[in-house]
Amino acid sequence: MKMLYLAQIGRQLFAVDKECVIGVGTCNGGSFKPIEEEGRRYLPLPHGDRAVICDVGALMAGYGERAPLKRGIHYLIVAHDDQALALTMTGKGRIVAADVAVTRPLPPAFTSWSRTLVPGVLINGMDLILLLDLQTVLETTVTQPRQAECRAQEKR
Amino acid sequence: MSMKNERQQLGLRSFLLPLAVSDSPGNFVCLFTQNQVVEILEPRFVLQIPGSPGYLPGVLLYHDSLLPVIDLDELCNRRQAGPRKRYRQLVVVRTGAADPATGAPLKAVVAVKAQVRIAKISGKELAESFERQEAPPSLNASGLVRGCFRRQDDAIALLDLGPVVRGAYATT
Repeated sequence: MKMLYLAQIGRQLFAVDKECVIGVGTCNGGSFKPIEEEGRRYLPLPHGDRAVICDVGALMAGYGERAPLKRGIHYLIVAHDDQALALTMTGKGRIVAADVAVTRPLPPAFTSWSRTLVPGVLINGMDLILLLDLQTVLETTVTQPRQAECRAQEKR
Repeated sequence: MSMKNERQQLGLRSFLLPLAVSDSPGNFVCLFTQNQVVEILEPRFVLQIPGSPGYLPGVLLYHDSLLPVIDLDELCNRRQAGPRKRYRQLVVVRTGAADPATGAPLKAVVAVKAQVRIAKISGKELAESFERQEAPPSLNASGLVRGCFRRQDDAIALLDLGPVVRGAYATT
């Protein structure tokens, strides 16, 4: 059994290793302004730190296109290597214990980037939970080349 | 043997899935035989997989298996991607392909936006009233057409979904 942080975006469930989670943030105040730098958006954290914002909803819907950030949105802040990521989510999420040994890979129809981004799917009753690879999520935050690559692949 | 012949005389059940082919006017359907179709499901939540092409809208949990969901309209009209519609039925099919890693037979779920029609087609009808025709260019471009026929008012396509479910389609 492993402790996972389970989050939701729309009707989609995704999970990351609980050990990676730094905290949960909410963007409520009018003073919130993401920092834009080199094509990435950053969420300011206490003590002058910052986390790369990843819009998971847009990522699920298609190729990481950037949607305007809304107030009241929650962020799951996770650590990956020496970088912090802020993953958008609906609600505050929760910690769950899951048997990751029964994780299923995606069907072979899904290739390349999808497989790298989603190394496994956890089945919990009728719920399917996507396990996300944080390195690939981080790469999607600089979206332009990846979008072009995916679209080119789809047209082939 | 005689019972088998009798069944063939009466006709095999075939499932005609409506297909939107942009460069072909009239009714276009994709035919699956009763041996291919496992079950027709009511619409349900399809888990989207990020980064997947439009013809693979997601996965569905079916009897403890994760099956890829295939949108035939997107597959056959990939240059004409339109807004996504709600699926009316989900048809679980045997593709005849095997998992390259495990060798297990691969099933898929075909998502359709209009009602699936069921027709009984006898061997005699198959031989006499099915006229072979050229597949429209958009359908041909998919590289998955095994045959294209005309039957009364319908144009019928036979598709091989094997390359799609094996993951060999996007890279070919």
